Amino acid sequence: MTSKSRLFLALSLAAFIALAFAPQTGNDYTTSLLINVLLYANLATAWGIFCGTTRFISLATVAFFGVGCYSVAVLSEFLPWPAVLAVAALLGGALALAIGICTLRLSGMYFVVFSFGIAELIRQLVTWYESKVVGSVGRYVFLEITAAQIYWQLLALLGLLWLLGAWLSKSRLGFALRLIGEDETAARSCGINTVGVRLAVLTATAMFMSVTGAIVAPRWTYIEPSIAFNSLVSFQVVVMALLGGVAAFYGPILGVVPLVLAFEVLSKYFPDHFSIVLGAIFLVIVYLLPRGLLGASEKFWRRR
Amino acid sequence: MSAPLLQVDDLSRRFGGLKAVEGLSLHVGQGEIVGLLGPNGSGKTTALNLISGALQPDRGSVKLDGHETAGAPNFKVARLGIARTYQLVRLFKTMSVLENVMAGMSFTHERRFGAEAHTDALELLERVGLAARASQRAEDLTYIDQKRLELARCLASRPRVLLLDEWLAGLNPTELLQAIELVRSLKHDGVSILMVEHVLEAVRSLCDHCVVMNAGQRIATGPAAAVLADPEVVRAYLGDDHA
Repeated sequence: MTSKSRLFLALSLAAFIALAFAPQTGNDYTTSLLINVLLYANLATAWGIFCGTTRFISLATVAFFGVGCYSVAVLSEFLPWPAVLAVAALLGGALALAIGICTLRLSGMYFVVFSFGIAELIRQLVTWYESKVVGSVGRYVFLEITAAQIYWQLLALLGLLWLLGAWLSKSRLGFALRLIGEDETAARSCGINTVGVRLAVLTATAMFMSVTGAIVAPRWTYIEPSIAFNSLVSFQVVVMALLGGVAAFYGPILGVVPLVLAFEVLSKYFPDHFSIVLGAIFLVIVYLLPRGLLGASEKFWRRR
Repeated sequence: MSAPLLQVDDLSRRFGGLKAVEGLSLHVGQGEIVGLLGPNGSGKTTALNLISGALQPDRGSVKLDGHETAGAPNFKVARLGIARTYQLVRLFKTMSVLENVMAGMSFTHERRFGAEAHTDALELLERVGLAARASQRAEDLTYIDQKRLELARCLASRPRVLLLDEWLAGLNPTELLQAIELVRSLKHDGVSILMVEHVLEAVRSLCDHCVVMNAGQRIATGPAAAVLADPEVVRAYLGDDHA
């Protein structure tokens, strides 16, 4: 390991330890805000690892997230909490595998549209099932889990995701993923099992998204398809990841912090204009920061 | 005589009603350079795609050192030691020249990764004359350098058979001479090559023997000089008036 990467890991560890004390030092409001930051940090980092690297822009984030939420809503009465999380991970992974197999021959715009379509399809299916079969709109989640516990779980999950990202950035699997993003045909002729790599990493990152959904579900007490499968979440994750930059696994989080804070302010003062502002932010990013804050800062340091 | 390193028999593939490759047989011995010639649309690139596993044949066999590879996917064939270049250069464009070469050695039969790959990749770049550009982005190279880089990436896998798809096309006369020398030095090192080529000067000076295709079928085989004088070959290229 180089001294640079050792320093990076040491700094990450220090940051995680410091963040672990946040619920005790802050108040209910800061904890709730930080839960939101961690929620998106998990989703955007997981998104960046697969979608950012391979350039398969997915809008199915919320499908995995929602599957996690519903695993809790349906199973938390019968199963112990760790088992619920495991089931959420498995269901999210299975869904990702199915989506991955269906999209093997899709790329570019077609992949984007497919991923969005599948997320909407799942939302509609759940809505239909709940109203026709179960006979209700939503479900209640009554669990004795405090905000601080949710926060710590999300932080631990982010820690795992961080390790995955750091490992991938050094490993052959991560190298293969980058090569697939550059030119899948050439990657195949270098001996890379591109199908296997795509499916493995998509599935792994989707599991993180599902577990994120499962962890935050008790926070809402009441969930329904329009909350758990809200497509806005998928779009926000893309915007955040692109703002941060996807050239490295730690890039997306740079976009998460400012945008979660900005959305917090926006939804308080301009609740009706939220999506207009989201769209405007997206345009600004694409025009001014095509490689995100990460790319811009690299450029800045090189110029000095 | 032992069996040739690469033995292709009765290889066939149709696209709908078009017989792109029909009953093609050829062989490449250890350390040989074999030319695959033919007019545009005669099925040469399809033949390379079939041999490299990018396309699956309808029938026929491809044996590498006696092992059947026909039907195996692209990446498996690459791992077994058949490397190829593309007619239109395919590089990992926004990655560095060095990383492009490392990509060639990280996933195949004699895989190297990390520090060892780094040293090996620099050596290969030295060999194709790109050492000074190791940290540049691949897409910033000139056309000839991109071709060199693609070749270096193939060599990085230590291929047993190298498939070159018009690797010499588009070079100016000086570059062509350098490129021919480079290919010759590969032969000297014992690399076996099957090259699709239109540059006859290169075919004459490099190839041990040639296979000529027309309309998907083999119409001639033999030493370059004999094959290029064959009336049927001349007819295929130039039409009846010249035969």
